[in-house]
Amino acid sequence: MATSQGAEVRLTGICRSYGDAQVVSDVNLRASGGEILALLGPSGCGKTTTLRMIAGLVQPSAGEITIDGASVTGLPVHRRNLGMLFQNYALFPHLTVLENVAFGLTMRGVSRAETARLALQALDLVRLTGFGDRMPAALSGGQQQRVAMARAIVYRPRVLLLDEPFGALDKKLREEMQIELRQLCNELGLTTILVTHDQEEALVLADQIAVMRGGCIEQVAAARAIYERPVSHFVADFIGTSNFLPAGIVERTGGRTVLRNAQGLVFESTVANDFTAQDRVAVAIRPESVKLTPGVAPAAANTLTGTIRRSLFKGQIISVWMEIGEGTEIVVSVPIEQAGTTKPEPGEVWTARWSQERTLVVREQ
Amino acid sequence: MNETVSPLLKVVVGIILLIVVAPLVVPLLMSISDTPFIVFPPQGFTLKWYGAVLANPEARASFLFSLELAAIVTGVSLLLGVPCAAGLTRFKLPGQDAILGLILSPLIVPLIVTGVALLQLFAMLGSRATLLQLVIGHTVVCLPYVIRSVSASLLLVNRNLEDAASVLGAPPHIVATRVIWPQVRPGILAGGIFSFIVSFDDYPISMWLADGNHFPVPLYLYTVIERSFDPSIAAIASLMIFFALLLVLVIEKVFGLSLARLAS
Repeated sequence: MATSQGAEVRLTGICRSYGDAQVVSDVNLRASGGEILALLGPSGCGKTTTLRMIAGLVQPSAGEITIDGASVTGLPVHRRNLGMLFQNYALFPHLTVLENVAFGLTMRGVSRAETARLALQALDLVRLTGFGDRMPAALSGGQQQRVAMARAIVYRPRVLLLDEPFGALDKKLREEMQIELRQLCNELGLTTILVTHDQEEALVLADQIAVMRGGCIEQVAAARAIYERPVSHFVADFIGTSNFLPAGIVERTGGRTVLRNAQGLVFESTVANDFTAQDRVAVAIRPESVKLTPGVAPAAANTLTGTIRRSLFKGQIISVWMEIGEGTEIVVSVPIEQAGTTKPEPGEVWTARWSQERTLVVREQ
Repeated sequence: MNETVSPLLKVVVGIILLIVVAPLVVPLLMSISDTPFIVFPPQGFTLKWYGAVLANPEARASFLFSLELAAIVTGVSLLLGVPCAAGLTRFKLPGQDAILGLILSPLIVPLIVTGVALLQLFAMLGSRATLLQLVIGHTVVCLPYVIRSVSASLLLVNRNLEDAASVLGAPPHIVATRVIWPQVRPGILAGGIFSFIVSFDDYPISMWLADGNHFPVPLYLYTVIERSFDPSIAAIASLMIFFALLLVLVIEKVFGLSLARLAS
């Protein structure tokens, strides 16, 4: 199958309300050609509604959606030329696998012979050669997922929309399918917009991640950037885990921010941020950024001393909880290789340190 | 499909089936009795009563009329019932429950009361159109069956499939014919067959509305019982049972299989 050039999708001021409930408010997004964009957020954050508005299955109350610069806001679903994968695949149970895949081509008036050729080719592409005559019910979850994939891409849509596509698969199969999907989208150069509540899925699949919360976009950034530079408590908490220590900005010099919390602990960060001394912020530290050493260390920036409370074996890492005063605990990940030589035991006093580059400053809500 | 069924369940289902089916066997056995009157258990074996019934022009006329009536009633019930079911399941309307209750009320009110009420209505209107009256009367009774079974199948329709079809480029009329229709077809077929059987078997409505030229089989059967008591009555009853059985087999063949395919 020849590579098609994915279209640019742009959402400007998109809103949607049901009665008094504002489900999506003022969403601005852009997915450039060939890019994979993930809408990530907890259930009820408006991500699926946003996707359905792009598909045309839901009409926005306000705002505009353009595909390759042309407005599609009033265009009916069936004329948008998009591909979509649904949560439960939505294969037509009364049609064979091949008929399912051919459906979009038939709707486009492609000749019979060409339809058969392209549909078989699409089945080859998703590695389901020879499954054409089966009924969807006779296939496993992963196979149904691939049929849905073939059906969505066979007519080379401008944009591929995915609604929690791997939710029904078990973990191992899900990971396989994610890698397959990513390869397929890159091969076809498809612009892909993905809805998921699974941060790992978003990190694996997406070039850009838009984190949504309560109908609004919280942050849009490249997958890695959003992990390394979350702007808010919510994002830092939703993508990966973090320890949050509320603090105030006391000094900004060049690329360096100095913060102090109520207990007088000082934090220094060289991670870029736009906050001022007036903003309510917190220091966020990833459990894997922290290094533990036994005993008490002299007071310094980005250094905490505390008592180990408990630890939990998690496979590659051991999670250690350390109390740093008045019921405040931080969690630290100790890689399993290091835990052999230095293993913190409950009751012991240890010191936690982390670098300026790993000190995140996020907006508190 | 390959779950093990407990023996107790088998026994209970067997007993229920026996209770339901056993009475139907009685007229079948009586109809082959070689005696001038109905006896049970039958004595001897003959098919002459079937011959007598089929040769009787009155019986044939009644049978054909019942077929005609049931066919018209089924058509009208589907024509009214399918859009009604679609409206009731697809849209949120004010007074929806009241509308549904009104439509289903003939199932609750004794049929004989419905029949009398219709007779009075037609008498007040001065109507002489017996066929039309029978069609209206039967449709009132058959409509609930159509609406119930079509609504049930419409509620089971997977809305995701409609979304998927439109995204794939299917305009609304194609979505209706290629995606919705295959899913609701079993419900419509079942509603149609129910309606046919209900109309074909109806006595209490026809009793008030029929006349000598429009005389359905159940009425004919009753008059024959009053006139004589030979096994031809059992033969007529048996023919009606065979006919209903045939329709049930059609349901099983056409829609039983497609249901299994959708459910699997």
